[in-house]
Amino acid sequence: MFVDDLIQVVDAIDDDLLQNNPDVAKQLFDPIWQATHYLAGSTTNNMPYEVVYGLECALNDWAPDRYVISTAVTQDQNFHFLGVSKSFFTLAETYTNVAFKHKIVQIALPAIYRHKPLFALLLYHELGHFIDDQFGLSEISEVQMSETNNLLPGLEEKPETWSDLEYEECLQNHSREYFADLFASCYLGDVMIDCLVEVAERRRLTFTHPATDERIKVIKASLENEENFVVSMLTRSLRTMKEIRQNKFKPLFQMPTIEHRFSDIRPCELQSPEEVHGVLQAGRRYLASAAEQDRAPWNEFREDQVERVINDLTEKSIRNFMIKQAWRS
Amino acid sequence: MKLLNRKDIENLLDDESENSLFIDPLLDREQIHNVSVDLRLGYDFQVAVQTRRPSIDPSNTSDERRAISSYFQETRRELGDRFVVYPNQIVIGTTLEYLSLPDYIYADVMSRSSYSHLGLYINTMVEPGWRGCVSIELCNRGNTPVELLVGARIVQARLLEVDSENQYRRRQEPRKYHGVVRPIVSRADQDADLQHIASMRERK
Repeated sequence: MFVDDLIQVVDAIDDDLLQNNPDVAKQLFDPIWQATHYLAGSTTNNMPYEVVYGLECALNDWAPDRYVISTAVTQDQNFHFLGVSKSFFTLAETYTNVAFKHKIVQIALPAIYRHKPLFALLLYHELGHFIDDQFGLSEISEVQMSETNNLLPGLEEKPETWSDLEYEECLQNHSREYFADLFASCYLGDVMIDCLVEVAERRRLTFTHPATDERIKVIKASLENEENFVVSMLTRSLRTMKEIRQNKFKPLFQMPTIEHRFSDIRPCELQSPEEVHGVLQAGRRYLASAAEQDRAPWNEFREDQVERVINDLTEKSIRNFMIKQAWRS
Repeated sequence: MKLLNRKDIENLLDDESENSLFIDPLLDREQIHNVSVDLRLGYDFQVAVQTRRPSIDPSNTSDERRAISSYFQETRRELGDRFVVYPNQIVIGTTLEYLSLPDYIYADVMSRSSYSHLGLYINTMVEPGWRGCVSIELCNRGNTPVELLVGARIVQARLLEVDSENQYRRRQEPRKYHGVVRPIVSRADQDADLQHIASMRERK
């Protein structure tokens, strides 16, 4: 569907725009080029369907039936989430009469994590950035901050050397990170804190990111339902958006029982999309404890095998759920 | 050894204990027959590809050898997609189902006759106590490409009860294929005695 619409735009560029409106053709080219790159990643058939399924379920909670996820498996070590700019769709409709039925979300996933779903959980945080970007939530939060005079941790006062513009940009950057953290914690619970510690332990406040300690405080406050300025501010931002007014920062996962199955080296049976998010959390916790190799069966495996088998059991649990859903439908 | 019949298989599947038979997903109970269980073609494949090297060296005794995985390309499909096996091409796939065998059950996994008649011969053995998606080596012996549907019932497992119980993973040599969920290229180069065999020649 997205590809069909894209082909129509390319045909229109070839037939007409290149000759008659080269500037518009040029503006359409870059997003098409990028979309093609990601779609090629999706169709080279090495896509991590299981992780993407979890993300699709999460995306569906916030923007049902609006987006198609495409994935590029990259040799990079970072995760990326990219949407196609709104101006592309407006230009395409105006100049080629193609109204896209779905918009595309482009994920770049490092190849090394292709078979390691338990190490790709930060994609939920990246999906949070995408949602924020699509709805413009951080911009709304910035307006709220200026109205309430209540500012983000560590940014209560503007540093002397910064311009007003720099200060505003920094506030917005931090809002974005807090939102993405809270979004991810809806699906990953306090495992999101573990992920954060893993990539940014003891990191101090920077222009782009809040201090890790502050981020952890905000996530904990949200998970424990405690009063917190950042959580309240971002919750108010959600309420201002008609399409996501109903969404809240609350657990959107359910924890399946994996202990007895994984300890017998069998995948577990998941019952719902909420348990798909939950098995990622549970698998992560289980791996941390199994890696100690102080109990059977894990003391009978090589260290690298423990990590491989538990990631595989998590992947297979999700895939079996997907297969059963598809079989019944 | 006793060949398990339908009732034996169903009883073992319904057993909740750890040492039971586990097949997941078993999409249709009709997969269970009088003396076998049909298993489906999985969605992950390793396809043999031509490389610049003249041969695969599985002995792990030469500095110039390349990893066996470099002679294969990994590819994935969705359930319901098609996968073409060309004449004489080697493709490693797996069963869709994850199997967990009791310590006293051995399995022979072979192509269903419907697929043997197309030139696809598959024959794999699974040791008692093993867990994972069973690796199936697809080789088209005919002269016409065969288009397979991912998820189709392609192989059948005959389950046999053996006299003694076996602790599959509790061995001195690490188990190379335990708990796998996708096709793994040959790990022949990890056999512990290869270095010893090679050194026998040098000692002469």
